Amino acid sequence: MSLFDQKKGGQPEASGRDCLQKSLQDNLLLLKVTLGESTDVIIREIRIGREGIPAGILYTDGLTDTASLQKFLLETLMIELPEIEEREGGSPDECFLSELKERILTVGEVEESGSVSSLLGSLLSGDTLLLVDGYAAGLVIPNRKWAERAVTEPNSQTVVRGPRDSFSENIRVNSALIRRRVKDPNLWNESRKIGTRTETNVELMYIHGLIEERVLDELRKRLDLIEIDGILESGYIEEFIQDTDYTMFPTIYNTERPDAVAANLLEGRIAILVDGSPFVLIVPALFTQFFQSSEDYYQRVLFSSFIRILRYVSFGIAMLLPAFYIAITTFHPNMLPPPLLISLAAQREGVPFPAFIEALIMELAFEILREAGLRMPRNVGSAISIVGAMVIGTAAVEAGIISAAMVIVVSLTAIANFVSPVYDLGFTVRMLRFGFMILAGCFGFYGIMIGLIVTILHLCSLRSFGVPYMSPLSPFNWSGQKDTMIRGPIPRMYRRPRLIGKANPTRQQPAVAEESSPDNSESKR
Amino acid sequence: MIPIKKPLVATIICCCFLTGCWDKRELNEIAIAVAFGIDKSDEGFRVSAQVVVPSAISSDKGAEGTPVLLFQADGETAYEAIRKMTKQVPRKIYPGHLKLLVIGEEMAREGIWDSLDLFVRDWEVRPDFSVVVARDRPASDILRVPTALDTIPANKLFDMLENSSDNWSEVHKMTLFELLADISSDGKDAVLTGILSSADADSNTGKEATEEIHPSARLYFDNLAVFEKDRLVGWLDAEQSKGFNYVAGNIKNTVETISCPEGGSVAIEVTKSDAKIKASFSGGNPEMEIIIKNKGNVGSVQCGLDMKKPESIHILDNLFEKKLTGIIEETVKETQSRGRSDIFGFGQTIHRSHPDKWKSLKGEWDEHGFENVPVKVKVEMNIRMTGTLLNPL
Repeated sequence: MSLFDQKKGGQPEASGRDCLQKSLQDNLLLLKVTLGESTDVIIREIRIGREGIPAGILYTDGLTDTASLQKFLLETLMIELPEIEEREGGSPDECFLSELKERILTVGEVEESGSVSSLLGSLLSGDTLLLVDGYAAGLVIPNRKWAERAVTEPNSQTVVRGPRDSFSENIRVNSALIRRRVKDPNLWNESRKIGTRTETNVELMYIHGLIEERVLDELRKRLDLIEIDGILESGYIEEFIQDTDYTMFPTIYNTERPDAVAANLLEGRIAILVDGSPFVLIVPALFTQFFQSSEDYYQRVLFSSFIRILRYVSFGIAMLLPAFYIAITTFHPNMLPPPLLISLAAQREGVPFPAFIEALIMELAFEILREAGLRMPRNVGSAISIVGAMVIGTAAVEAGIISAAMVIVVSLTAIANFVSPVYDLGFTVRMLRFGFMILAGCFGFYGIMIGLIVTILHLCSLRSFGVPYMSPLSPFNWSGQKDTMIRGPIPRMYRRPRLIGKANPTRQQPAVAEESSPDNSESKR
Repeated sequence: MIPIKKPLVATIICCCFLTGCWDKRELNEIAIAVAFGIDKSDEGFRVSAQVVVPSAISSDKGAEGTPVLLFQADGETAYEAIRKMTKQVPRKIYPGHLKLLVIGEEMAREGIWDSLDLFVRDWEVRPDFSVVVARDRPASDILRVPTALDTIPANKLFDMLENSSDNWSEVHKMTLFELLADISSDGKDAVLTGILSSADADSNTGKEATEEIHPSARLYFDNLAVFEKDRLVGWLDAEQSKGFNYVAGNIKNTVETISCPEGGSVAIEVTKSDAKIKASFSGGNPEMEIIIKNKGNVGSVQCGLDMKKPESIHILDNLFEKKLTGIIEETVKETQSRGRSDIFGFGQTIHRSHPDKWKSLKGEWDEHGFENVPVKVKVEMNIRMTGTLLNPL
């Protein structure tokens, strides 16, 4: 395994001696040296049983539940074991270790291992090791416990109506949150460790029978190809497995909402959970998915559809409004109604910059403010809002640097940007906006049209795990439209997305006799 | 994704910036012209441009200075004259938002086509502005008069023209498009609304004029100028103008006052008016019939007519029909007596309904065909409502 090759290169002291010795002292010394005598690894030497066999208990301070360590390990071994031996009259023999494992230790899942590297792995994951003198193997007692964030409300994808729990940094908690929603035995979980040094636990969750095996195989293949020393966030994985790096559009969806993951699993998608990250990746991801919020499905149909359309409109505004303003004022003043033109012209009087430079200054100022607001320490937050209101506000207009209309354009753009329910698409829009502004500043509407055509062509060329990124818009399919620009009534959305849930296209028997489409009969089970 | 060649990308990006922005104009680099005036001058054309001063109009700065400026230049062609204005204006004249084109009477009598050509040909101009003729005056005199209600005089005139054609229908709003269609078609001649100014030599046309409650210099629309091809040949008076508009189907809403049999008068609001011109032939000679169907309401009653009786409505119907028939017959007679300019489009009607016969008539239609064609006028009126009051108090 490539994993171990790397390890040998990095840690020569472990090479060639991956097996434990019989002597406890040798073993303890080996482990101590391998760990560089790290002070957070506690080594406790005890004598167990009536005969006082030397044994060593090792655990990582802070990752182990010391209460259970004391109750189920120390007390058992040091107090109860001699009593049992007294009562039964036996003495330790060849199978003392398996005796301990099978009869004595009253903890959940105990493993026996003789490999130093796997024991070390367990130790550093928070398990407790029990080494007994005379045996070339150790017991791994799982009693991990560490301080962690509780399941809280999601920060990035909030809803008014809908569940309020979100993923945390613990992968077990995360998978439990998903399993609590989908109790299907077909919800399968597949685990692997990625990162030669971090040994990060990465899990795939999917509903067997709904997903396309082809996509799963492709995903496994891509995950296996990852060679990296450390995975600290799901973003690492995302970059390794995405279809192409050369795009501004996210081709992998991420969410911190368990209900969103559950919904996606039910549509036939695959979730990738990464230990240490509250963001779960979902593949394949489609463009339209980034306009869907889980709240859409909890609210009433008409309202949700209205909000959907509003999101697309906002997307357009956030991407194009400054470009439009530049194009109209510098190239096409004849497109404005005269009173508006005169009003705009009056505001432009005395502004020293061309509209393009003006827009660029304001957009940059806003981006700086936003980034500053994101990164600065919380308790100086109010300073930013006060100063920000001045920079992008009437002060700039009164100073004669910026026209009032530009302030409105920039503010509206900024607000429209935040309508996007998934943060990722916001980045795309922010960057494309500058591209469109340059095009508009150079060529007017002609430039904007060229830019739009190139963008749309690019979008149509993208694929996420083999699924066309723009589906169901392109390739077009009717039943997919129920959940694209609008959100159809849930009873009527009885079919899974065409290209994703191909393996099992029907969610439920249609509640109402639906107009029969050509593929209706074949798609039913 | 196809791997992008770096030099290609660099070239494309450079191209973006190297081409420059050749037709880019910032809003503070253009002078928005709202009205043009065209007069005759020694050189050929004298063009006046009414240009907006945006800073004086913007609402927040409390409007200082004059809202519009008038620039004038002479040239052999109108285009030359407009370009010559750059000698006086720091910004390029931008005609995209033109509202009004005023043609001086002297110019109009010589022919307007030469001045219009530029406005049709130039891509920046939208041909939806109104064209009017300044009666007895050069156009520049009209564009010089300040207005108070709407600070931009051209806007005011445009709205006034629209309002008046919609509610009184004596004038007619003619856009460049419609004018072109009329000038270029066989068997129909154009009319344009006249614009008059009450200003005299010592009228105040400065900014202070907008501070007078009853300024001596006022602009108003009146009369229709009759054209033959592109030359002005005469004017219709107020009543004839209205008569013309009835025949041309331009009436959207208007008021007619008719005299009651026993003295006094009744005002009738015409709410709908449909005109139809029919051509027929008797013995090879064309005959025209004008049929006008109206609907209307009683607007105000100032006579002893008993409005409770249905017969009274019939009486009013008949009186209205009689009056309007008179007006229209008078208008037609007047126009025919002037000869040559077929503003009603009789020739066009014949052309459309009897294309074969038009071929033989066409040649001499302008010479004596139009003036000799017999015209029958038939007016129908249907008064529908009498308002919320039955009889006068």
